[in-house]
Amino acid sequence: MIAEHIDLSCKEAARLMSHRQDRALSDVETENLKSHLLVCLSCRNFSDQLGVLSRLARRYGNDGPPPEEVPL
Amino acid sequence: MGVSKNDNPQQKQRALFAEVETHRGYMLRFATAKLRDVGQAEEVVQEALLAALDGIASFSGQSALRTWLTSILKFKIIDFQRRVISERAHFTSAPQDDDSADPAWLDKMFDNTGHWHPRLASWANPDGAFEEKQFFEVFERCMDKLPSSASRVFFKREVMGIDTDEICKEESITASNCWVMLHRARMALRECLDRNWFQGDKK
Repeated sequence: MIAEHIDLSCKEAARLMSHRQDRALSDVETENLKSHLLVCLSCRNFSDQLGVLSRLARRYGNDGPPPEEVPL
Repeated sequence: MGVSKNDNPQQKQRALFAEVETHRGYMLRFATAKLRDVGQAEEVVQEALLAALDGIASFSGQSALRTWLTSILKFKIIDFQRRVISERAHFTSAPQDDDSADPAWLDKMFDNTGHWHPRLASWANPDGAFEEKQFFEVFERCMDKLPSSASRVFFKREVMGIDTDEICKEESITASNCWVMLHRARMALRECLDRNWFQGDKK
């Protein structure tokens, strides 16, 4: 594949944002994603929301939900 | 735990037992992710909970209760797997998701030029959501809606924090298959949280 800049669709950008949590993106993928995020608010929101999802999953596996406030 | 030493020890123990019970759902998911079989998972969780209640005196309260319970559960799972392996020759491996094309539900999130449809609105106050028990319940319900293989892989990756390499080995799938499954799981979960919490009427 020739390393050149392409305009990503949101669908492709979303896939890359998910993959970057599991594997290293190539330089081209990183560049393309960066340019897309500069111009796309929905994808910036998506990126934030993936972060929330990861934090939620981690928190779910560590402390779990906040305790219910029941007096002894 | 926040329980002072002056409290009636029986009361204190009863409260702790009740609190242990609130982690059963999480433990069941953890065990199901590891063992695949809900029936087996229930068995192991029961063993772990009994062991936990038996040894509750050794819970120092320094780690979170869930962390302590999980360490007991992990031990019980390994123990169980050893028993099963010695009883049976092999586990059957689960069927793999087809990753040749995106499923229709995922395609529907985008218009025909590949842009979000509808546009994604930002999530208001996610930190506040973390303080609400119901938010975690919504998350559990969303995970339950995933296909079992996707739910298992997501749980291993994001909840347990296992490396994708190791997940691939455990699941007997290729790395790219694993990435695809994780991506689809995240897309479905994001959408589910969005609909049922952030954009919906919350409770």
